Amino acid sequence: MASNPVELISLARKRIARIAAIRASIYFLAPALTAMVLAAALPAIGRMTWERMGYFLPTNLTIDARLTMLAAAGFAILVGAYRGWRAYAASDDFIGAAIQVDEKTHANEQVVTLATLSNPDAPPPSDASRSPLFPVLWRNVTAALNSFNPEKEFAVEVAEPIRKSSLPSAAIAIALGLATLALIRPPLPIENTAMQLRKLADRIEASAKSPEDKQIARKVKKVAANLANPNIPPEEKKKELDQVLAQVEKKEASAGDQSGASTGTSKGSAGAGSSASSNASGGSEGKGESGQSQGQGKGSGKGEGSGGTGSAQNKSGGKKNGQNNNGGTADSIDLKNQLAKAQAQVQTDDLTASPAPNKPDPNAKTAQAPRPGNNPNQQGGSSKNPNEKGSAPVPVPQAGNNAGNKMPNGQGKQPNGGGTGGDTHLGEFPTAANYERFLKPGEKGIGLNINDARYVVFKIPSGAPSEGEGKTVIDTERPKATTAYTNAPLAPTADTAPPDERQLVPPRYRDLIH
Amino acid sequence: MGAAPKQSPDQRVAEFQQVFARAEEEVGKVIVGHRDVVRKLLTALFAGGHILIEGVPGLGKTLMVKTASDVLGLSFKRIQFTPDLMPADIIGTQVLTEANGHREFVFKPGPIFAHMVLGDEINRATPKTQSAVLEAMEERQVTVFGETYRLDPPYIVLATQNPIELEGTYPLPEAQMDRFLFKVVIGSPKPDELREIMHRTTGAQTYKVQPNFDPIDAPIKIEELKQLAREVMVSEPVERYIISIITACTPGSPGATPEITQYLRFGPSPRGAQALILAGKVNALLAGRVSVSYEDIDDAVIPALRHRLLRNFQAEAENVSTEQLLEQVTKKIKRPATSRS
Repeated sequence: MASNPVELISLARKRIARIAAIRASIYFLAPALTAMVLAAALPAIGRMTWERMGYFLPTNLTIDARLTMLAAAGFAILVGAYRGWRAYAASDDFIGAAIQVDEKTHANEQVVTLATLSNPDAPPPSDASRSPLFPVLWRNVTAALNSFNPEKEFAVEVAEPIRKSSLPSAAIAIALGLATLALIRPPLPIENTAMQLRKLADRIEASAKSPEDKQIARKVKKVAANLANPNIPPEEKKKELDQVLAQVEKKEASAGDQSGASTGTSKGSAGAGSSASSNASGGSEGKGESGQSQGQGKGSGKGEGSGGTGSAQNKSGGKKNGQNNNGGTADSIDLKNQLAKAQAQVQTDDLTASPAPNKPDPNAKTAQAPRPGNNPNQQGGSSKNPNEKGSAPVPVPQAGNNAGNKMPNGQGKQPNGGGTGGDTHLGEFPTAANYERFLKPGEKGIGLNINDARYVVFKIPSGAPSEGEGKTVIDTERPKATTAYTNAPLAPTADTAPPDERQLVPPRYRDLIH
Repeated sequence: MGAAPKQSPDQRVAEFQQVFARAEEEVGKVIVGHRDVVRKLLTALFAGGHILIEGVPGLGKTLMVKTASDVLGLSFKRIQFTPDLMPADIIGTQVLTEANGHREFVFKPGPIFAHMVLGDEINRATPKTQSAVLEAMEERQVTVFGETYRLDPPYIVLATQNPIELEGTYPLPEAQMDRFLFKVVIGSPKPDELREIMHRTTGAQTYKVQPNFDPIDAPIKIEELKQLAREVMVSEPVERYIISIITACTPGSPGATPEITQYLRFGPSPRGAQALILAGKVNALLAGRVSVSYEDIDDAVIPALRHRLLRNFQAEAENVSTEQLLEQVTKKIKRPATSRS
């Protein structure tokens, strides 16, 4: 430790300046950390809060919100650095340090006086003579600073700045939280699917037994994130979905090959129909409310489910012979279903986004009125003009045709076992077709089966002409007035009696009276 | 100034403390109580200033000054100020004398030619006579018929004024009040002190003080001690503290407190700052230090500034004293924390 009082004061000066810089920076560091933590934990916070309540923060807005939070954190760090530099510059003061040293040592301003007379920043003029008492002062200060240690006396205390910064930190957290809450909204169908996919991916990742599963989970997460991002074109989304679906199916196929021969018999409540598996050598068939299906695969297995109860006994292939594969798990089935659903929704969105010829031009003064399709029973894909309404190149699913054709090997039954209740989403979700059929007034049309329709749009005709011949009926029973009345003015009354009292006219009215 | 002191700085500081303490002790043998007044009197002497003592008659003001002069071995003169007192009665005059057959005017010094001059009830003299003391107080010299006569150092004027019986008095103008380093107020003695006064003044025993110095060497020694007080160092923050006090007491200035602006017409002059520093230096020496601390300044604020503040009508009507205002100022002013504050 330096014995020279001036050196000791200089050491204390640097120490005090550093502490001031640290304290000033910490004041802004806490808000910056808060913003960074919020940015990092925003998806997790969303899953724990608004997504549980059925709300959704779109991916692009999530990215924007996180970027905003990171920008706020960066700004706070910059401000903290600037304030730290300013605090360092302001505290880098020889006299100021001497004052603090004086207070610590209770030297009655002797240290300050010595610092004033020995300030290296402002040396006294060469012709100035020191007081004859200066040696006494030097000796007194040296004695006072004999056991003074700046490192011990000026400790870094961060508790107070952290406590003070809790308020701006809370303000930033509240502001960013409110801004984020303002951005959330109920999810669109495709966003809902994306959320389901992400949950599935989490589940798969948690129970992953092979690197391939984890890779699929990661891809599904990426697909889910992109699915909810409106900035990504639908083609790309479809491409990613196809890739993931193909990977899942490939994995199932390879798992099926490795698991040996298996046969499965299951009872399901899928809608009546029969399907033939396209990627497995087995086949399944179901009829009625409790249809039965049989699959002939390389393996042998037996699945059984009770429709409508929601209990699945064969989640992993039903009663299997211990040679089940991962491709046959409920998660995998759910994943494929959700992927298929996402494909359908992406395609629907794509069609909705593409301009239709019958769509009226809002800028045109003479817009063409929308007209119904030529054939209300026309199926999608049958039209030659792909742009024409009702011409989506997707075949209308026939009941029972596609219900089980995507089922994995040995899976003749829906994993949830709750029956589909008419839900045709099993395996392959029917892509959107133009189901809108409007009948002209008076047109009977043919019977339209709307059991499988998700929604029906009714169009109420306006200005329908009456087909009947009416006649005028005079209402003689209408109530009539019985008292005579007139609107002639009343005769003026001549009141010659003097008024009861005299009242002065207010001054403001006197000019009006002549 | 005489030759350079041969003692070491430490010895000089110790001698100062010793002389001061002995003077206090010796005066205390004669004057019962009023230790603070005695200390301020000696402080003003070593700071090279004058002192105005205010108190009712019979409190021992004259005895105190006389005793102090005896203790310090200095010459003492007393002037009783009356309305018919003329300047020549104080300063002195030319007297026609005959010597060796020749008649010539010879200067006859007045009572102002002494080391310690007590102007009793100075507010009873006319302003013309009062102003005759001004030159002597400030310049340490008098001029009679074109001839200037220096007053031997050390020189201190101790004026007293009676706060009662104001009829027929001439209050000291601000310019003259400003020339006093301190204004101290002597209060009534406490019961114990009054008992002691009765014993001392009505008994057969007489109290004789022991002088500190030989009367021949006393002026030189005291001047050396005054020089020592001037050598005491003052730090920059303490200087800024004094400036902030003066600024805060100046109505209309940026640093003035609301009370000062409300109740004062004028604040202290730069002499107020000088008085604070000089008194602070003596206080520091008395504490064994060679640098002035904030406490040294705080101790001198009221006696050094109370007579330099000119109250307005509102303050007089509401009976707000300058002491109250100064106490508020010293409580509100913050001591500098850095050299940039």
